Amino acid sequence: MDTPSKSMDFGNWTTQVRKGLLELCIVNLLAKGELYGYDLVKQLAGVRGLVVTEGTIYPLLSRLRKSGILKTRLVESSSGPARKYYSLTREGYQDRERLNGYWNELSLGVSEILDNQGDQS
Amino acid sequence: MTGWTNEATEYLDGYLTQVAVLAKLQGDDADDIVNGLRDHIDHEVHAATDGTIGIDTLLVVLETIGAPSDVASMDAPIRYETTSPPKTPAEIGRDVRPKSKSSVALMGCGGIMVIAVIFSVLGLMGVVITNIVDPEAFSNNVIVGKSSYETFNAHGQALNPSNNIEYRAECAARLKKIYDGLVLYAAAHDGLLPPMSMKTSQPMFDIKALYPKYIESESTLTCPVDEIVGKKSRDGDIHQDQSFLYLSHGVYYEPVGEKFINAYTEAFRSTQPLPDMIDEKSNDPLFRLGTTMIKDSPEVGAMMPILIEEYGKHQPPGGHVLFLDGHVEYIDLDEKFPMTTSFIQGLNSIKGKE
Repeated sequence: MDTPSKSMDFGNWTTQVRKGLLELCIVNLLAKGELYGYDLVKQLAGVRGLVVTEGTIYPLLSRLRKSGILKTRLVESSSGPARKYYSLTREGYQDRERLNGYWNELSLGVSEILDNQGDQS
Repeated sequence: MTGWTNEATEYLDGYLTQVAVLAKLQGDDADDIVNGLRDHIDHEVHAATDGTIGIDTLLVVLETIGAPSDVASMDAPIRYETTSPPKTPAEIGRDVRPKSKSSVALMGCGGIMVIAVIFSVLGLMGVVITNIVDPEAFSNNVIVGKSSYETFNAHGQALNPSNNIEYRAECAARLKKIYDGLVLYAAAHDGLLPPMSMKTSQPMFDIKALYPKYIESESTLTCPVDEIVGKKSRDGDIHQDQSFLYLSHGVYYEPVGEKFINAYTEAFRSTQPLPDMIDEKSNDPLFRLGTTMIKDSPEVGAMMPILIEEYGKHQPPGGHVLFLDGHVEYIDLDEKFPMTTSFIQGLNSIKGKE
């Protein structure tokens, strides 16, 4: 990883970038099917470069559920308390389409700039 | 099934309480978040050990989960990357575990002697604990503690049972009157409870904040047990004869309580008022209490102590506690926060700064 520049708050910049991407990752992981909360968090925590503190995902999941993007259901478990599974609502799938569309467009545009910079150097 | 040590259980409860409080303050569904976290932590600790789950295992897991303020933060859901090596359990413990009781016990020599004398007298008297608690004697919204008990005056004399019930009921009733006064005060002061007094000889608000405008008598601040030994409070000033210790900030957990004690002590030393937000950038910031919290988050209000009766007057030791939602609870010493030896002794250590 690059050494943080003294002229910008690199840590804060990456935090802001990753914050937005976390929601993108959640809706895409759940687009494949419902996931047990613990497994979902572990998958997100394992996303390279996202560097998520595991506990911080639960408030986000709760907010996404409150806003109607996610829904949950409890499934009985033989090894302990009932497990909460998360899945996308219809609004969640629509949200995913919008987020993915924006991300694709943005990453394409940014890549073009970065590629041009590479050509000049 | 793998068990948990009491220390680990208590630590986890405190951790989740902090998360719940902070989540509530941000308008989040605290129960939803805490349930998810508890389930997650349970998975992690069981993966970490086959044996009894102790504090060291828990602390290692919590390091990956994040500090309560990070977990509940709307603004910082992601941690910064770090190149520093992972911390050992011992290092983590040094950073985040609550201080031992002895490290908090900073009580002044005078206070120690008074308490010691009281307990010595009680011991010599061969106290007989009798079941004299009558829940019916108390007003609504008063929760009775587990213990049967006797109440003693400052000379170590047990009060007779009938008087004892009356005194205890009256003490709870006075706390309710103080609460009504505090609510009226808050309504006229942006919803905030009175600040800590910087002139008082013990942790308290300035009595002029409530008397005579919001409470009828300044004796409301004294429990009958104190009155009968001549500890009458005096007009317009607070002295050591008040029966209660006041908390102006959200102090709901031992480590936060220690922080409050340190901040208040420092405020005395520097003669600066206690700020509305203490240690804002830390994991456990302390915020000034207000009545809006009662409406917005009743569960949070129910866990925030605001007035604590000194515990040396009852046997077994304990006292009444008034909470932000207005309920009064009788709590045995060391049954739960805030009626813990370390916290009460720490608060008492602030005495004598007048």
